[in-house]
Amino acid sequence: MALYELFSHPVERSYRAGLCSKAALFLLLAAALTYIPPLLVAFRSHGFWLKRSSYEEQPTVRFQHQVLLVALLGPESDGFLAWSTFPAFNRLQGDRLRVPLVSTREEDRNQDGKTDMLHFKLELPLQSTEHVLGVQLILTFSYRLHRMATLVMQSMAFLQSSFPVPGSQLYVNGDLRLQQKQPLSCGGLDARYNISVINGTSPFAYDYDLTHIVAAYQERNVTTVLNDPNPIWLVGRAADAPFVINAIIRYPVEVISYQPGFWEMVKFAWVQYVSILLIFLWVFERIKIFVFQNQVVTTIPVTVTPRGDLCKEHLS
Amino acid sequence: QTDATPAVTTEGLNSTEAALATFGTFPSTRPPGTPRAPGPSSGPRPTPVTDVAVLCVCDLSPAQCDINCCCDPDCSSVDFSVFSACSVPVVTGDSQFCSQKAVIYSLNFTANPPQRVFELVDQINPSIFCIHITNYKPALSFINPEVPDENNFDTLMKTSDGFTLNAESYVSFTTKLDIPTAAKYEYGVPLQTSDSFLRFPSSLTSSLCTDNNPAAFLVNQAVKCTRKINLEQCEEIEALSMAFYSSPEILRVPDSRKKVPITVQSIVIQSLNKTLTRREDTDVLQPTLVNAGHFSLCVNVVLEVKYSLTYTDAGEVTKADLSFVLGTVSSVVVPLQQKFEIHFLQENTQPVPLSGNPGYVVGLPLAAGFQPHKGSGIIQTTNRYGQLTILHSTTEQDCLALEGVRTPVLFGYTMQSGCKLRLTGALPCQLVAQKVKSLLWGQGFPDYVAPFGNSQAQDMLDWVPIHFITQSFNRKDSCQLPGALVIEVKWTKYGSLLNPQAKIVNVTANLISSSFPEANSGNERTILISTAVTFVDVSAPAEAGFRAPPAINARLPFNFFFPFV
Repeated sequence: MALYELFSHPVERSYRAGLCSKAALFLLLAAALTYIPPLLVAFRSHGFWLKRSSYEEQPTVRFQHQVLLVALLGPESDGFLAWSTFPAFNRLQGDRLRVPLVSTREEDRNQDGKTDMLHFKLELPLQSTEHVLGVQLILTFSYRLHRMATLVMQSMAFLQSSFPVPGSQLYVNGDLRLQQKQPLSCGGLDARYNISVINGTSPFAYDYDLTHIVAAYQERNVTTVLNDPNPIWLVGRAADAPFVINAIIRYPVEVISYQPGFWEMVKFAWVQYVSILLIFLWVFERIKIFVFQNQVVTTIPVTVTPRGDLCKEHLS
Repeated sequence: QTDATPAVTTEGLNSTEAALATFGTFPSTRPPGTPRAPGPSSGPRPTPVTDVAVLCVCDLSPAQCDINCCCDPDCSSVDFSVFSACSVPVVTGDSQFCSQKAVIYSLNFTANPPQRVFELVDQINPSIFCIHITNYKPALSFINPEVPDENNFDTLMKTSDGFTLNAESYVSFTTKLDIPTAAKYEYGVPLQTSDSFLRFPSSLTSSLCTDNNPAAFLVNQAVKCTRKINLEQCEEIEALSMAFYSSPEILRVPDSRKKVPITVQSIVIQSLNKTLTRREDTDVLQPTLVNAGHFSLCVNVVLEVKYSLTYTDAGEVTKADLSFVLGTVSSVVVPLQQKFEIHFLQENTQPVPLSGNPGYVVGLPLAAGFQPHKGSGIIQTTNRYGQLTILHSTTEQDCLALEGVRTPVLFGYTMQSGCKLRLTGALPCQLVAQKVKSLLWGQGFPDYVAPFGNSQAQDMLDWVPIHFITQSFNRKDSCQLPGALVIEVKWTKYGSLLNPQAKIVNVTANLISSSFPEANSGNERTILISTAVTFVDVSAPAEAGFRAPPAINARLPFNFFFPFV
């Protein structure tokens, strides 16, 4: 009758030696070589500590209904026309003030509670002798992110476009993109830039200067920009027709980079460390078994058996 | 002869390097024109297409010896003696094979005169990934191109990736557009006339009008475009005359003989100061140039064209009506803006346009009206776009000169407009305040707004009353000058989540006024008067709902614990 191996179990064997023996020293060395090199390997192969990570989120953007418009006119008329939603700015303009008709609509296409795009239309009435050659337009937005850090920011879309031929309409269709100079933090409230882009309460001309507005805005680490590579100028304005700015500004899903928190960093480091450690553990287990089995270091081998008297015999 | 040798050598060296540099690509390319011998595929590798002993890539001038080309059959031994090196030293077959025939050309400079050495060897490829046996022989060479014939011509034409020009696009537009199958118009099909198609001017790449745009069946359009004209020649410009729009005859169905004449229904004359008068007759008028002193005017110029076509459900055009706005044009309004409109009406129907059914549609005007006395229904003006209006910014910008230019409040669009009020010391406050107030409210500001786009005028109780608020700053006793009118429309989503309908729940009109600024005499001040409309969505956000959590419905038999219970 043929015999088959139906069951097996390993037999544990202990090796005994003094604490100051060679064997103890070897074990200490082996332990050090097992646990420290994986750390070095993981660290030297880069990316051990996760310093920057990214996630996707569609921001909650609302148009704040603040507009600052400068329309640059052709040489036959004097300079430019301007208008804004700020009373002080309008007061400063004097005769250059020209009140347009503005109509805007924010649309939530997928009904998820976050607006997806802004339809902005501005009709600037012009005299038949006035010709618009260039446009500078600032629209302000409130911009919020929620998923990691709560970012609350007031940002702007700056549109500047000009053309050598007098236009009748400017068509812009672009994205409001987030620009980060540094990663966001992973939690908490970030309201550093929850300050208005244009100080609408100020009576001073300095606060409405475009260079000053843009300079102050660019100081920020997190900004939004209007990304439209090709604004379209339509020429051929009728004498009594207004100049029309037709803008569609979309609020796309953004990839936001952030600084991971402590536990996220530790988690990723742990994953890397342990996966290398497993190999070292296996290798040094083999080495230790070899060393003790072949008595490279002197120890007293003991086979652990359930019988207590044998143990006692060796203990003595 | 020996004196000339060094010169050839230096030149030859350069060409050798060049030839060697490009040598790597050589073995895989077959010289064009060499027919591929199909041959019996007997061996482990395909039989070579070309004989390496004969192949010579540097033989570029026929019947003449190429310098340093050792394989050129035109070169004699005398020519070889002046060569400095072989530009193509090795000619091999496919180098991917483990062994292939190779011809090595070299020059024996030790002999006097130098001789060409020709060696035919079997070259062994040392690479371990060389091809020993090929079981797919066509993979190693280019396949023969498809020869165009009547079967595959069309498919070959489609794959062509150059500029394509087809004859059809240059001949008349109509030949391309005819639809042979249907004897009826379908949606979007150009409307045909006896000679070509109904022209509907439209702007293209700029705001200037393009006349050759066809009007499409059942596509309602309204277009504004600009004409750059020379006023002196206004009599000759076709696009300014009525006849240009009223003369075509629309075909009843495509490609038929039956024609539907365009009948002029009304002509409205716009004078130079923009007052409108309706003409009794509908005779065709021609633009005429009138010289009035220094400046010239052109009368009876087409400013607005409105087509209204009646169709049957069988896709036939049965009636074509046309109404014009003709105007007097001076050089001030050149370039000229023209307005074109076309809309289609089904036969035997009287359409009542709605602003939504039931909820308001974004971009359509708010329905509003008055209640003349308690208990009666709502009275609305017939013009949908004139029921609730706000001030429109104009070129003049002067509030006191501004008259009657209004813009409708469209659902969903927040708007802002305004004008400038120039105050001098001479103007009495009461008068200015009165004037500004009437300007802000406009003629006949309504009392009620329809909650839905399709609200009926007789359902009085449904209508939303407008709350009028007067907000004033500063002292009460002084004369108040209104500065702004803010209309706030609160609306909510109504009905199912999938198809929410907009319903207006509250409308407030807030007139903000401040005390009249005490202007010093002679000191002019400019005040901005503005109107704003805001739409506020007050609907509670839709929240994610969950069904009832699952319950475990596993019961033990009632006598399971019988001895204990």
